[in-house]
Amino acid sequence: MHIIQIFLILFVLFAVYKTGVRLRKKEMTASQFIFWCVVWAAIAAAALFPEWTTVVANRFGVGRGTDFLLYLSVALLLYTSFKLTVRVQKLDRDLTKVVRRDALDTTKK
Amino acid sequence: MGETVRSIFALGEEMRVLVVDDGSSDNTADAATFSGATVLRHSVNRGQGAALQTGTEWALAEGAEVIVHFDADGQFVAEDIATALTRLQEFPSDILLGSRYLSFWSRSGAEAIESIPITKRYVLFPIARMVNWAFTGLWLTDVHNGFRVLSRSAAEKIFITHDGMAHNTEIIGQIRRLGLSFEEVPVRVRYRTYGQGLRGGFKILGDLLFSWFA
Repeated sequence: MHIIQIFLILFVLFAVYKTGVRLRKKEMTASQFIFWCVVWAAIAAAALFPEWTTVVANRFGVGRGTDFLLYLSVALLLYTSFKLTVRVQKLDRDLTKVVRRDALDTTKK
Repeated sequence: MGETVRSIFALGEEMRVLVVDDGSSDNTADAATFSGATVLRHSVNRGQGAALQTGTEWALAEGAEVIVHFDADGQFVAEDIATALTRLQEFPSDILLGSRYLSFWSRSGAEAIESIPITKRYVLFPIARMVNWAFTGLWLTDVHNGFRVLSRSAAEKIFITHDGMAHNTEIIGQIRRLGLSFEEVPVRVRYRTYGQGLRGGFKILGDLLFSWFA
């Protein structure tokens, strides 16, 4: 077993533990918990049996499993940052509304 | 600040001055109050666009007939307000937009244009004009000029959602979309600092692009 595999397995165990904690604190629904467990399990599977990812990658027309995972994660990260930017803009506007109302109300008195 | 406020009051008794303190931590608000202006305070810094919208809403609530957007840092000249108001009376339109470049035809205009930093005149402005045109469809002699004179009806229709500097492009876009009549009027701009540079420009572009999704 390679060191990277040990690291990844340890990471997955840690992530599953954290997910479980959040479920216990009721910060997460059962379906969310299952979703994340599937994600972690997929990462563990990819770490333990890297050749499987290549099989999947070839189905999609990508040569290597690691490349395929990299493409997927870049796409996911880009999408996440896009979503966050838009979300922050919306929060900005909401905050402005509150600050504006406060400014206008304070002067009326 | 005090000087700017007083120079506007000097234009006539019907003038009322509102200063929006956008969460500043210095004594700007006190200086403005001391010189007789009404001061509204944003408890958290929200940007120039947000401050203008707040100020405009206050002015409408106070029954203003004409609203002038005017920078408080002393870069504009109060007499240009008088000139613009006269123009508005003689040739009514919904909104007047200040332009640094029309000043060529006024007395001290050429001199004022000379004071615009070279890279701003020949590099940033041409690009800014093109971006402005791409987003709004209006080809103006000047963009991102903070001097505006809004009739009451125009101020009621325009709503600034861009808190930052992109509000300028937004206002021009709304003028076109709402079919408001407008005219550019010459104003003098005294450059004390460089103002918005290239980074500011990119920030505006980013704000405009992302706002399509928000």
